[in-house]
Formats: sequence, C-alpha cells, structure tokens
Amino acid sequence: MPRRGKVRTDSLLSQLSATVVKSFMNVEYMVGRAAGVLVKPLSLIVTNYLFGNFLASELAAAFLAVMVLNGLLGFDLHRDFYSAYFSLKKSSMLAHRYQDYLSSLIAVSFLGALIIIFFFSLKGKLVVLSAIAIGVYFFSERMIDESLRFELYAERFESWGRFATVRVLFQGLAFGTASFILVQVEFEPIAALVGSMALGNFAVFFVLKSGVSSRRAAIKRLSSVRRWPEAVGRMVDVNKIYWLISALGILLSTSDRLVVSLVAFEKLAYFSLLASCFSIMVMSLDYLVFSMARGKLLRGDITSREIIMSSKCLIVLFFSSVCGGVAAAALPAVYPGVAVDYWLVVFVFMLQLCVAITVIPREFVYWHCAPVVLVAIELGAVLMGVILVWLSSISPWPIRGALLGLFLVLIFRFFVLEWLSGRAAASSRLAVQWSSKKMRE
Amino acid sequence: MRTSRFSARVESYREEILVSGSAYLGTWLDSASREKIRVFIDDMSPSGAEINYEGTEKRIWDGHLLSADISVFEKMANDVVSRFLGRSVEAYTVLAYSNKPLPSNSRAELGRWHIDSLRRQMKVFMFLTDTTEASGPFEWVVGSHSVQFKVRALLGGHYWSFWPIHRGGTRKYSKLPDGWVEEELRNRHEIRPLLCGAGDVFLVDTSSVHRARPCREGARYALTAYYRN
Repeated sequence: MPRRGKVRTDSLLSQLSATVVKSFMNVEYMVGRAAGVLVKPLSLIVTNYLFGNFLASELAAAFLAVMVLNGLLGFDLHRDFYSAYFSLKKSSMLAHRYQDYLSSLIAVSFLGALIIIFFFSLKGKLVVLSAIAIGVYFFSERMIDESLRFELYAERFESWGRFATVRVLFQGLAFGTASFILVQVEFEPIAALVGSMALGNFAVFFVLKSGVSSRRAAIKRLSSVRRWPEAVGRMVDVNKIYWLISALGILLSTSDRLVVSLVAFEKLAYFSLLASCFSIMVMSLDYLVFSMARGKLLRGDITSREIIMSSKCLIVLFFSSVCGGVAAAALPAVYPGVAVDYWLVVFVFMLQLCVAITVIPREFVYWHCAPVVLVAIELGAVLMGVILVWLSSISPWPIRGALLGLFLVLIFRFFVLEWLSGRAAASSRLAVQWSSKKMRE
Repeated sequence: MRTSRFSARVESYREEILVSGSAYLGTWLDSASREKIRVFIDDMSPSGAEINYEGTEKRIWDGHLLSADISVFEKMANDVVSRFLGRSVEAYTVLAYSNKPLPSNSRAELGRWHIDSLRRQMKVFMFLTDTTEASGPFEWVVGSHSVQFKVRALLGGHYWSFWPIHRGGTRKYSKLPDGWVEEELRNRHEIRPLLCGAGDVFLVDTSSVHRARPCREGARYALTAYYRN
C-alpha cells in the first residue's frame, strides 16, 4: 500500500505537470510570452557587450521609467468599452465608447510621453534627443500593450502570441540595426537604441493586418485634439482609490530598482538583470499556484496562509528560486565588465521572494477589506521605504543599507497584509457559520 | 603650461587623431610634480591598489580623488577632450599605474591586445617616465579605429562572439588573439609604439587595437584619464 505522503506528492506533481502541459499546448501564446519576457534583458546584455555597462544602465533606466510611469498612469481606460464590447447584448453606444476609449488612451499616452521627456531632460545626464526617444517609446509601448490586452480579453491567445512574437522580432531587428549603425556613426546612443525599440512597436502596430483599417480610421478620427481635454477629464474621473492602490503597488514592486538607480546608477543594468532572473519566482507562483487558487481565495474558501504554506506553493517556490539562482550565477558569463557582488544577489533574491509571496495576501485584502485599509498599508510602506533609503544613503554602506532597509519594509508589509487577511478570513468564516446556523434554526 | 594654452591647439592634432588614432599634445607638469606622483604610486599600499601581471603592474583607480597633482592632470585632460569633442565632458576615473619588468617567459606577456569599445572612446595618457622599447610602451595598430576596420573585424568575427559564456565572461574584443594582430594585422597595418619622454601627453582613440607592451627593463609610470564613449 503506498504511503500517504507519496500519494500526496504524486498528485501534486501530476497537477503541476498538467498545468504546464495545458499551457504549452498553446505554443504561440507561450512563445509570445517568453519573447516578451526576454527582449529587455537581451537588449541590456547586447548593449553591455557592445557599448559598455554605463550605456546599458542608461538603457535600463529608460525601461524602468517607462514601466513605472505605465503603472502610475494605469487608469482602467478600457473598462467602459470592454464591458460594452464583450457583453452578450451589443450596446448601441459601442462606436461612441470605442472613440472615447481611444481618445483617452492617446491622451494618456501623450501625457505620459511628455512627463517622461520632461523628467529625462531635467535629469541632465541625457540629451534632449534621447529624452524624446524615451517619450516616443513610452507612447508606443502603451499603444501596443492596449492592443495586446484586447486580444487577451477576446481570448484569442494564438493571435496574442503571434502579435507579441512579431513585435519582439521587429524590435530585435531594429535594435540590431541601430547597434550596428552606432558602431559606425557618432550619434546619441540612447536615442538610437530606445528609438529602435519604439520603431519595432510602431512597425508591428501598423504592419499586422488584423484591424489595420479600423485602427487607421480610429487614429484619423482622433487627429482632432479637441476631444483630448474631455478624454483627460474622463481619465481623472476614474475611481481614485483603486488607481492609488495600483500606483502605490507599482512603486513598491519596482522599489529595488528605483533605489539602485538613485544610490548606484552604474549597477542598474546588472541589478535589473538579476531582478529578471529571480522574477521567475513571482511569475511561476502567479501562474502555477495563485491563478488556480484565485477563485477559492475570492470566495473565502481558502486563506492566503493556507496557499502560501501549501506543499504546491513551497515546491514551486523552491524550484523557481533554484532556477533563478542558476540564472543569476550564469549572469556574469554573459554580462562581462561588472564585478560579481554576491550580497547583491542575496538581496535581490530576498526582495523578489517578498514580492512573490506578498501578492497572495495583498489580493485577499484587496477583495475582503475596505480599499482605504490597503491604501494606508501601501502608503505607509512607501513612506517607510523612503525614510530608510534616505538614512542608508548617508550611511557608509549606501547600497546594501538601502536594500536591507527596503527588505525590512517589504517583509513588514507582507506580515501586516498576512495578519489582516487572516483576520478577514476568520470573520468571513464566522459570518458563514452564523448564517448557516440561522438557516438551520 | 596653462591648461587653456595646452588644449587650445586642438585643431592641430584633430586631423592626426582622425587619421592615425593618436596624437602627441605636448609636455605637461614639471619634473618635481611628476616625481611626487611616482612616489604616490609607489607608496600606495597593495590593499588600495589593483595588482596585475604577476605583481609587476600596480593600478590605482580614481587617482584624481586621492592626489592633488593627479587632479591637476584630470582638469587638463577634461579641457582637452571637451575641446576635441565639442561638448563639456569629465573623466569618470583617472588611473595612476606603474609597470615593472616581467619575469622572462611569463604568461602575462600574452593576450594583451584589445580594444576598449566598439564606439570611439577617448583617453588622455601622460607618461611620468621616459618610455623606451624595453620599458613597455603603449602601442597601437594605426588606423584600426576607422569604421571600415571595425566593420571588417565585426563581420569577420574578431570582435564579436555570439556566446561570451565560453570566454569566461569577457568580451571577445577585450582580449584579441596575439596571432591575429602580430601576423595578420602587421602585414596590412603599421603597429606603432609611443616612445616618449617623461611628461609627454597623448590623446588616443582606444577603440583602436592597442596594448601595453610587456615591460622588459626599467619601469613605466603613467596616468590615464578615461571618458565614456
């Protein structure tokens, strides 16, 4: 008779492999995902190899700024149009909502591009041409991301995969060409490299056949900027507390790279690559554990602690951290010119682990507590982080001190969220018991 | 000589750099200041320096932050490179270093040819001692900084390795095969050593193929100001 523990492990492994096999069935989607995850790290590696670490760090700063601003301007602009488009009964206002959606999207993207140009021009390290290129890149990323989101909502995973893959191929082609030209021509390197990434985005946006005519028509209609103030008004009219939660969340999840960009800029590219290596923990936990338990979590059938302490979660965390560790150990072999800092590797591992496991109680608190509670916790964490990082920056060990401070803040945030989710789960179970008892009576 | 006078002659050496990859700028600092810098290099403890080539090379990074005399050199170098590039630039580090004779048949004699970057990268060198054929002069392949040369070397696979993991995490162009340079390139290009007196200053485009020839006798002391490409 098989032992109980063995049966349990076998069923876990078969469950996990079933998930993996199911995902890999959709090859185009998986290829698109992998290409999307790899394109930025690869561009950093190539830039470092050809042009040196400092330029790679400047490129990493451009990527980071675009990612953070994308999160900060992450208003749910698509909500009204999507609810009209995907509802069973087509709304008669669909065309109008589509126009509203696109005009808000272009207005927000344009605003973001202006913010980013202003920021990088003020920074003084980059010339204006590079700042403009980063702004244009932001605009192109936003437009492409929205197009890809539509494919996902429409459940056209193959189309999503093709779109994402062709985008990366175009970007790779443009990036390679820009790099080759940069060897020969005296030109602003960041403007050329980031501009090539934007060019890749625009190329896929206009070249891909599906929906080209409607996109062109829509953009033509939107050429009148008179609609933009109205669009920005609608954008500001979104539910501010949920936007605040999302904005604070992106600040905390990218806080490690933000800190390194301030304290040790020349290490930013290497650090971003290390974070990419260990982000496999975040992705695999989200994909293999959390996505399957989300329904139960939202219904209150399972607590975040039960998910985190489950064998499945621990196995996924263990294997993904080993994979991340191997990738981080191999990184110096493909990223020459930077002295290996083992402390940095340890800090990145701890910070990414924190980010990975915090996703679960954060989601629970998001759905089961008042939004203001989550805002208070996130805001407190951001403020604590700023104070600790500032204190470390004037200490004799700025980078390690800052990262240690950040880790303490993130782990404290995790325990607060975990404690809150436990309380919320207990009260919701009590409520269920009380109502079933009432029903029996 | 004052910094402004020293760098004002930029137009006279611009053409030379564009054609050959290096230009002599003149002599800088009096012998007493040069001597002080040499003493500074010798006195620096090994823990504050980087020791290479079986202990025969001593490198002190950020010398301009540690010695007032080196800081004077850095200001002059900044002025020279800013005028050459037509925009204000500052050195991100100044290296102060010394080379003593290598033991015969040392492995450190090999694998010294390299380029610093695929894009143009300027460096200002000042030699603190007379540099002879035997004391290990800086030498470079004349014209190897040109676009045509770089494109040929890139396409020929001399500068680029698809998978740097096989090279122990180094860029292929940071350690070029001696055979390729000494046999193949020597037939088509001139390999020129910088033989000079103490205090001589040179502006060099280090995207050209270059190396520090191994020191056989005497000693070589120098300063180098580094600029981003």
